[in-house]
Amino acid sequence: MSNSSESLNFPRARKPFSSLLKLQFKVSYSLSGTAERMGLGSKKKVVLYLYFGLLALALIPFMGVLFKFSNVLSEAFVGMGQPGFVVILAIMSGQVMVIFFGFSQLMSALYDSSDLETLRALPLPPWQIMASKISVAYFTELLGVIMFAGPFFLSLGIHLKDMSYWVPGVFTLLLIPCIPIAISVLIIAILMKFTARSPKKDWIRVLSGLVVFAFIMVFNYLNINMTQYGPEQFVQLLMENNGLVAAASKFYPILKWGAWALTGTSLSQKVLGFLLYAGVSIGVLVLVVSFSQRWFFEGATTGTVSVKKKERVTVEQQEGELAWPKAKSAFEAMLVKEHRLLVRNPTYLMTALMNLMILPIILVFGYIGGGGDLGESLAAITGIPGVLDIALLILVGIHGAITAMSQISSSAVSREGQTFWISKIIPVSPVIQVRAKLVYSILFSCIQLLILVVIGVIALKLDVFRILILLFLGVLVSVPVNAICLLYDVSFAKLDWTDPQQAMKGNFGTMVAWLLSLLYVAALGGIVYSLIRWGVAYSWIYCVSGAIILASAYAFIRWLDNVAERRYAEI
Amino acid sequence: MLLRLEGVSKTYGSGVRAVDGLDLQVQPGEIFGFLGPNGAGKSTTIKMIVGILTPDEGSIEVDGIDALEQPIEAKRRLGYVPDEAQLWEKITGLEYLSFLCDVYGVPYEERRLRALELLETFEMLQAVNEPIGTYSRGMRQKIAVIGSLMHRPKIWILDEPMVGLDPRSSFMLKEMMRSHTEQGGSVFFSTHVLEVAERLCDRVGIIHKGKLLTVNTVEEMKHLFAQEGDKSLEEIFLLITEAQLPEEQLASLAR
Repeated sequence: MSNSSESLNFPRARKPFSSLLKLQFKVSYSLSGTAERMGLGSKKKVVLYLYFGLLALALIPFMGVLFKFSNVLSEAFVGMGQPGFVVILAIMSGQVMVIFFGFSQLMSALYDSSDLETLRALPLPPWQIMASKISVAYFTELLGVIMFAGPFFLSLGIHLKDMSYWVPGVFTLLLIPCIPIAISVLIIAILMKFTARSPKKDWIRVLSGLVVFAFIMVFNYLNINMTQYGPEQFVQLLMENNGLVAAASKFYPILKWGAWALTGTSLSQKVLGFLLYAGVSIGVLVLVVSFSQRWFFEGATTGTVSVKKKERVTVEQQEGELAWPKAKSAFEAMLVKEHRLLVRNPTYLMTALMNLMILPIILVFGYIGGGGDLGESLAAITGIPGVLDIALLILVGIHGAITAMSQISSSAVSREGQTFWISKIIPVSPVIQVRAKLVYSILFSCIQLLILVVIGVIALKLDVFRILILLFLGVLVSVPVNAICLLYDVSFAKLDWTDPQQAMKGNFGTMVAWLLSLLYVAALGGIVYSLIRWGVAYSWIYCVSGAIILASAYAFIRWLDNVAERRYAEI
Repeated sequence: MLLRLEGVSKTYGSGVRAVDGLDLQVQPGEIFGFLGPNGAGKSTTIKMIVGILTPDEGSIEVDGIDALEQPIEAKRRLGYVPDEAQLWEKITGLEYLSFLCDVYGVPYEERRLRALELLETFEMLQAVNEPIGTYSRGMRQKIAVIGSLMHRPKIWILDEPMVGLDPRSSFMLKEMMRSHTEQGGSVFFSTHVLEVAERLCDRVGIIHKGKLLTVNTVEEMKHLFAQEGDKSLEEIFLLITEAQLPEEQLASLAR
């Protein structure tokens, strides 16, 4: 007893909110759970090194490319006397990213967390519970923002050669998530409150999330779109110092204030810009949290779905209503289960659909933004022999590269969470179970492929033969890519989560799986590139690449089968 | 009165009233057993008392404090053990207890002593520095029970507390419930184990289809049904909840 009681050392006392914050961060970012999953026991440090190693391996080249790009951009815009435009680009892209990644994360954290009931029974005001959840989401989004917008800030600072840039620069970067998180929280709180009693609340929430995202993309496009200016007006803007800043922030002054803060023409403009940017960013977030907290518990109340009261029914009618779905094979049943687990959870569905939408939306805006010129240029290029074939192969590559972004396969096991025991006890072999997951992931990625085909037809005017090739190779490449992602998830499934988002967006493993699948696509791209350089006919390139994908798919599936057999017993 | 519910109602989907005009009082020093079949409204009532759900109608008073007007103050006086404790898997038992102490404002110097006493009682001292994710169901239930008592609540509310506990822990829990009331607190718990209610409770309330059918001591209840022979609480429970008792008898029970 004495030994055990000696080990009972309470951590120092904290204020309730500080303790709650600490707990939420610990639950979200604890390394011990990952160490357990990787079979490393309590070796948390090893996991930390592994994470940093992987991040460095994957992100340093990526950030290097991004820095190179932003460096060229900064040099050009500083040279033109338009440094503020770089700040606008950095803030805007960071904020769009936060909306894109943060919306469903916040919805899940605020309304689907399994600890909500526990927290609500404690003497904590709603704003504290909300703020603690939002803080974790803020931190998560900030990491992404630093990754994407950081290189822009860094390169601009280097080119401006102004020491007074750095301190406000860091704060401007750190405050980027404020407004998009505030917008997301407000929309989510309204959505949850007013749909809490609707029987179709899940669908309404998913659709609303997608509409909001599309709206924000359109808004940003309109805000920054320069095509409305004629050549003379545009030159005029370029002649003025930071002339582009006002033109690119006409509907959204936060961008302008951010640009003033870092690249203002006078000290007073810099101070004013920073105060406005920081004040409005923090103010809006605080205001939204305090305003929407009154709706928070109302929307979070479970079991309040109201359905029209039914008339009294006879036993026969009741039996009729209790019609069992027709019998299915084990594989079909697994497939249906996969589908239902995805679409019945708005967090999963919204994440998957938003991930599917991002690239097509960027391509569509790029095409529209290019105006008639882009269409004419494409028409001219596609006339050159071989260009369409290369474009087709690039589309296949894009499909392969972004298939894993939907996170369907890379979180297929993790999404089962604490219900995974069911998969372990049912008399269906793990091989059949993971193959059903694989087939479902492939079918889901076909939606993305179809969007790419439509883009190919509209922008590149692909003929029927090439459309068929694109469909064939697209479906084929999604097999090994999804198998790689599944392999990773089966090996390191994250089953202990408090809200469903932690199984998808909050799951570091999905990123690792995506990076691994990118390596595969890159290797495939390298082979195709070599074949093109050697002058191999495109029909042969299609055949060879198809054969390679097929062979690798077979190998990955066999590997997946073996790992599944072992891991389903171990987990 | 430590706990008072007046006209409390809650309606869920399908228009079904999960709890319908519930009136209830729990006195200091009393163990109150809340009985009812599955779906009767027990957990909904408890969730409204502890502030997880908001009633559509009615009022809830905890130690003289309006729980709907001053929820934080009311919650400070309650200790709650849910039917299925949702605990954070990645933190240790000690971190969990420490978090609760912070939230309820338990003075630092009292924490260790209080925890030692409870951890020893439930034989959890060895496991308290392990992550909760490694705990068995019974151990989770025990740490939830310990957590609910760290701030010495006036009213201890337990939803199906015996589920998952081994016989020794179950016995200790019952002893603690008794000791809690001896110190002036009160215990309000729901259970399916009628034997426990019969032996432990000062009064029992039986809820069925959202309505509180009867509140009495076990002895009074047996007396009421004496004309039907010497009945156990279980038999009375079945009579009330399964048999179609005449309206007059139901009305007399409610009185």
